[in-house]
Amino acid sequence: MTIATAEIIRRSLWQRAIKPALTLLIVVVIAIAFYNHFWRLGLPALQRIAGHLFGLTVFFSVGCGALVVYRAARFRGASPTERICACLVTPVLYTASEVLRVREFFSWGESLYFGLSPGFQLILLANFGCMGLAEMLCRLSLRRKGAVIRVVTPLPLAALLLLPVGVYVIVIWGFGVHWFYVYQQGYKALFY
Amino acid sequence: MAEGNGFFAEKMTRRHALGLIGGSMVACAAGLRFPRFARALGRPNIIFILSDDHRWDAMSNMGHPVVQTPSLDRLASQGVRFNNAFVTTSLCSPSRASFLTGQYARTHGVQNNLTPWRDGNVTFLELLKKAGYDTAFIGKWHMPGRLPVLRGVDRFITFTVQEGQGQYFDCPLIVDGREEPSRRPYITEELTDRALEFLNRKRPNPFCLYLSHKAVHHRFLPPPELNHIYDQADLHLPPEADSWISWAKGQVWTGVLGPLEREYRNYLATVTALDRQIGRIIEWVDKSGQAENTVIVYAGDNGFFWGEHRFVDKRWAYEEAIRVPFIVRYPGLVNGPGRPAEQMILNVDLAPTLLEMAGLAVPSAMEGTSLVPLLRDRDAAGRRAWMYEYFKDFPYNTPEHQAVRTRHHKLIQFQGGRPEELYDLARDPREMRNLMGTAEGAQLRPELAAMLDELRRGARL
Repeated sequence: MTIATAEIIRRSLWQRAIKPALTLLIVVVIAIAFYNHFWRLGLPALQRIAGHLFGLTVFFSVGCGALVVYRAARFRGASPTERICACLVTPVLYTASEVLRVREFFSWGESLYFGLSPGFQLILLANFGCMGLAEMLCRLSLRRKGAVIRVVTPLPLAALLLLPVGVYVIVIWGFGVHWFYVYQQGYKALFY
Repeated sequence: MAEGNGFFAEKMTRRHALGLIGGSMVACAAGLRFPRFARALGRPNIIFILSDDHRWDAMSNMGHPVVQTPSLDRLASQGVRFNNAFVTTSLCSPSRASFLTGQYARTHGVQNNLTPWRDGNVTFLELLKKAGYDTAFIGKWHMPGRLPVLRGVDRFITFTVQEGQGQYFDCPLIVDGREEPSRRPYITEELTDRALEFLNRKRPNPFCLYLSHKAVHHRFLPPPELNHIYDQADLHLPPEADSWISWAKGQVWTGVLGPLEREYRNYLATVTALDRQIGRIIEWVDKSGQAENTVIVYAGDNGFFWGEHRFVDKRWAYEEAIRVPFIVRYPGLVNGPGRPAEQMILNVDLAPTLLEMAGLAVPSAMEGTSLVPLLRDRDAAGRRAWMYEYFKDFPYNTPEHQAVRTRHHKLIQFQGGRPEELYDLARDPREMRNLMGTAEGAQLRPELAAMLDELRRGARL
């Protein structure tokens, strides 16, 4: 056992994994509800502010929530598997809710394929990237407290690198158009 | 040109008059059944300019608070601006095919951005070519499937990059089947140059130019000199809009990823850039001495939401998506130039209109109606109702739906479980109050539903 792990007290499953994951999920659900329905209150002066507040909360919570959840789970003694699962709760449930939403328009097969689309790919990659970053930040924090631990190791670094690679392929390459058409070719091959 | 009402009130040169008389005599001797104006003028030259995603009110002549479109304003002041022009499917590929064929998407087969163009489709260009026109298709083709050998087109200049969407800067072109680099950096200028080259050719025949722009489609890129012209403008976005709306509910597919305000400013600047190039075409026509006998039609392929209904993009049967700019300038025909027309017209009306103007019979397979009577007579009756249709287009989050639109009402029927929507367009032009479930809705629905059924069966109302 390293000093780093020995210093961390392993809390209950609720405390170490479920609570951090659930907290983020609740934040996202509330932010989405406010984002989509605030305009119905008829407060045009506040609409733009609410749009920024709730829209950006949704965006960062779904895309980068792992940064917070991972750190919380790590310092409460969650195992690597538990940390990863806790971090994936929000992006996976968000994607699942979108798959269910588009069932109105598409068949089950198409809806599931929709869940594999570039936007959701990016969400997943961003969260893995954030997990890698969070792991290294946690190690840095532990080292400052005296733990003998290497901050940068291949696995978290590889996870972190997924983020820029994903951003490049999905967003920057042809401003998102090229990867989108690759995805569309897959759709044509499967459903046309 | 002298001010006046109609063709005979305008100034004519002796050469022009002799030409008309001569042309009419030849036409009569040949036994051609030209319409009255065609007999008088001979077959007109035709210029059809189609833009992309240009919504009907984004022109200064429509009172838009920001955008400046002096060329389109000029066109409207010299022709007829149809205030109630619609597309039968609010999506690029189906709408473009409807302009070309005069048919609904269900008939020509290009139902979304995935279903390919059928080689058997007959375009108005093909029919005009058979009648002796010089023809050119220049610009965005963007139909799914391989690039066709387009029948009846002498000059076919298009692009295939980005699945046929093209790109605003340095867009490689396909010129009569061969790839060529763009000579100008900005696509709208390049296509206009190519169009002017076609117009400048000396020819004994009348011509038909189909100039189809990439602008003002996403990514809404104006040329550098217009990049920030509307940065300080108050945009008047709808109250339900916000900066990040394009990230909500699957709208990320539209590619409109920046803050809505930034994208909208770029869109408007791109409209102004397009307008400048349209001005070059108008200038050419006016300086060529052929203005009297040249039809210029400007239209958009579909509208665009800028936050209305919390949408970005098009597709839905709401007014912002289905209404398009549609201006016709034809001094030899238009009675009372500079007037707006309130009759409802459709993209499928273009092909029959141009064919009638050219003195050709309109094939029965065309589902549109010629606009010639409306251009001649401001009080001519328009259609009572028409059908809108939208087909599934994965992965865009819009259900298949059909709608009937009358002058005052709209009934929308969705595939799947989504309930019907019914709007009173006179009292609720923004379509914010669905009348389904109200006494008024119950009263209105049966007649509208019956109309929609009739229209589905191919009736013209």
